[in-house]
Amino acid sequence: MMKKTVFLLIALTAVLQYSYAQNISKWEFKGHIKSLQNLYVPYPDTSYWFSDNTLDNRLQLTYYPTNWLKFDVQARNRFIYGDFVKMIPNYAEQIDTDNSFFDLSFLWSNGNSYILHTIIDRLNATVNYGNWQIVAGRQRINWGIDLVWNPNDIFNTFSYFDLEYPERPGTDALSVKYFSGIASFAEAVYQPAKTWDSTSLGIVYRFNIYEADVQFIAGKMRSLLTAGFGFTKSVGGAAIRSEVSYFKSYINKNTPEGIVGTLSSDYSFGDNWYVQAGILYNSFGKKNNQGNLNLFDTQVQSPMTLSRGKFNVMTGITGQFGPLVTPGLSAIANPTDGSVALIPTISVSATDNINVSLNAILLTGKSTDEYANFGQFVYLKGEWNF
Amino acid sequence: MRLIFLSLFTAISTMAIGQDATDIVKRADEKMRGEKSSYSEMTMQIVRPTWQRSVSFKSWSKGTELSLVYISSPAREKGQSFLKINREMWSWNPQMNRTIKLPTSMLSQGWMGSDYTNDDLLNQRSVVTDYTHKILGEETVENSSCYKILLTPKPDAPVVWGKIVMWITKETYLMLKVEYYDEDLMLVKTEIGRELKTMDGRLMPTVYELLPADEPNNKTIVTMNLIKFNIPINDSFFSIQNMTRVR
Repeated sequence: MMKKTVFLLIALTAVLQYSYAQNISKWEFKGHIKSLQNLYVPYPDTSYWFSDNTLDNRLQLTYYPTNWLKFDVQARNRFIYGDFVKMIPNYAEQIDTDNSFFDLSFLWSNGNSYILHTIIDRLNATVNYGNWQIVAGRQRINWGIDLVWNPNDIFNTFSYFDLEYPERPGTDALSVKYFSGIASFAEAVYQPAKTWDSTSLGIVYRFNIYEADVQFIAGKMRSLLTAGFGFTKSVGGAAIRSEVSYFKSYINKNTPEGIVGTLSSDYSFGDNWYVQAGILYNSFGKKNNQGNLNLFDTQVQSPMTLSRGKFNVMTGITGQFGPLVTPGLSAIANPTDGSVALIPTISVSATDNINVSLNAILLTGKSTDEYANFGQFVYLKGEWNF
Repeated sequence: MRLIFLSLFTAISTMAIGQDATDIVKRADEKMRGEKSSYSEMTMQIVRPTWQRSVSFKSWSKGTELSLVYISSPAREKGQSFLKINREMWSWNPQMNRTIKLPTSMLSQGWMGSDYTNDDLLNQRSVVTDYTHKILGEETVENSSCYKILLTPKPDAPVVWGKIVMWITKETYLMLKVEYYDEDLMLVKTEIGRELKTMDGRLMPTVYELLPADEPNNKTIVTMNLIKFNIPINDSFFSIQNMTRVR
């Protein structure tokens, strides 16, 4: 047994070395290490400032045994220590959650002021055969076509406020995709769960017509039936994007049915300045006293909770002060209560692979507002990509 | 077969005798990119007085309308790809498994922070179809005798330049110098071809320097590491399916 393992290891090393010598390697390894120095200044009592540090490491290994087969595994490792762990009740449990079929979340160690955690957020095999593509395992199913809110993204909805997770969570699913043209495909997704009422499945058909990408979706998101559409088109240089989804519970007749829809536009001024603006309508949102955004738990369970209020608006600008400095400012607001979340960022390229940035989430609202000011959040980030 | 060669030869000689400005630009353009298709591996360095950054990519193109670019470094951007079909453009982000359609205004945005625009990279063939051409005279560039040609955009052409002036070698049809002017006809940048070498059987500049007019200490250097002309490639290669598969 031992001999066999050693032999396999040697063989694997040989394969690795051989394939690295080739122009296109069968293996790809990449990742990053980020250090986030977080500062939270609570409001109205501003006397005690909370500070916290997160080391965030991502490892990604991809193996291409043949040109039609691919294996991908990615892990997100985090070491969090400081005041947040003390301040937030059950923070470790909150981080150690995996909403997928398999539990691939590992809480290695935690104490009063630290958490060491790993989640495998990709673990999948992809088979490409002609126009077919089948992906099985933990993956990101991305049906969104808009850039801020994605009502069509029914398998793994994502919060705009989860700024330090650009890769976004994965989910355990089987995806079968058929590419029917250069810019069109049909995809069926099955997301298993222990009960039928928590199982999700859906189909999407995306096609290109009059230089527009258009998609229709239909499916079952846990105990809700859903149908929707989305499109993107360039009009006068600007992109116009929209997504609309309808949801209705098939279990609880009293649960209101409703729609979640977005309309947005983005435009590039050519000198690297880029603007976007959009509006979200969420019929599941509340008119008044809608509850607050929780910056420390940004996981969104469904498109119906993309906002707390009925309407949200968003606008943002990113630019370039020379090739190295990238400033940005975005604002998400609830027009009903007038509260705003401002997200200013400034990022500096230190070398080809090292970036340093200063970011903040600034909230303006009253305590009953969606973007209630319970404090301001600022963080300094250093990131090394390899 | 001989007939094809013969007619090709006749076509070439006719062009040579006519020396029509459009033909010269077309031949120079095709020489750089392949008459039918090409594959290239390039490194682009952004050079400033105190620092430099570089981006490497692979690029496939066919005809004037199909283009696919894959970024192979730096690490953060590695794996991203861009597809252009006619005037439509998509980007692929493997990290979040997202294909998005880009606004056409993105075409004039600088490529990865360089002095090259997306349009330069994905749409350069339009120098033939989107402009009218006129020979202004003959000048010597880097010891080579060149035609100096003025390119004026056709009405309603979807281009970002007000005019372009090109210096193309008389014997070998190489673009050794190109000046790009904005809509107010102010010089924006100058492109200079250097280090003539034979790549895939063709003599061509293997290093291009791009010098912005208003910032004399800045430049972008594009080095051709590998180029293959007229590779067999189907139109279906340029698809959103393949955009997620190339590497």
